[in-house]
Amino acid sequence: METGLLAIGAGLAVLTGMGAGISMGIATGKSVEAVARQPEAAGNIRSTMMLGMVLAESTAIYGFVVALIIIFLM
Amino acid sequence: MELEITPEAFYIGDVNVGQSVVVAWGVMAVLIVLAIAVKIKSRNFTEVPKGLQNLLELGVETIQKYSKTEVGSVWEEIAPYCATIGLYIFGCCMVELIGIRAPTTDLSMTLALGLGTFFWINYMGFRKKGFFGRLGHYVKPIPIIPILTDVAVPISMACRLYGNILAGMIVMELIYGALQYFAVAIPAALSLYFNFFDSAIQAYIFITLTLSYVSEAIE
Repeated sequence: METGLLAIGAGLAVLTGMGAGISMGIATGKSVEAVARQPEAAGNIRSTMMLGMVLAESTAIYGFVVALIIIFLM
Repeated sequence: MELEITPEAFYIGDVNVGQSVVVAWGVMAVLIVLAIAVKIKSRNFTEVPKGLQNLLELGVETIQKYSKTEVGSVWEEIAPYCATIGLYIFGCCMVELIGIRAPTTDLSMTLALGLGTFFWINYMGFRKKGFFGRLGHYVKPIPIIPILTDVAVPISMACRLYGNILAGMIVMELIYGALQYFAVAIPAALSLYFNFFDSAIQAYIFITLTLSYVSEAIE
């Protein structure tokens, strides 16, 4: 019983990946649009997109770390 | 499949120092030996670069130019730190290619790296804006809130590095577990992404975030 609830909790924690996936898709789409409009600024756009994507990804990572803590340390 | 998120114990005498610390010492030793070798080799470097000198100058110039565009005037002090931390994180992750668990999958080590960055942010802030100028930043819009944001910086950097490298390691373990005795060429191709590319990106991200937080503190 308790193990099952822990597994459900870990699965719920990993759901943060959904938001991160959507936001990374939006960021990539917008940067593709920007590069198509202004190909000469591609370098700047790429580095800005990289930074933004990493910050968006960190929410997924927090969820992942929480899930690991639930699985291994509880 | 055996998998633990706490690193294995390693005893020196009676003290448990942890396996990740010993591996990290090994990585440091290799990097120090490489640095000394380059230093000795650099004695007969010429005005016009050739061979190895070309490569080294390219690397040094890239990191210097990058920190110059990010932080501006204080780039001379921050560039060596960034290069060191980048090489160290990348070296620590590369240990996984020879089958040893990477030290970056230990939260204490990534937290130590995060605290190093935290120290740099505050050191640069205090030096550039003076004691009261930096303290003023802590009470500006609403008191206490900026302190919380600053404390979150090392924790978020530590969790990001730890989570990414650990995720790569777990995915690789799962692949090895799933393929059993047929694990021949497929894990090598996937390892290129999960171990090599991911580590390089994380080292780059760590440098970028350090530089952008420092530039935020000194402006």
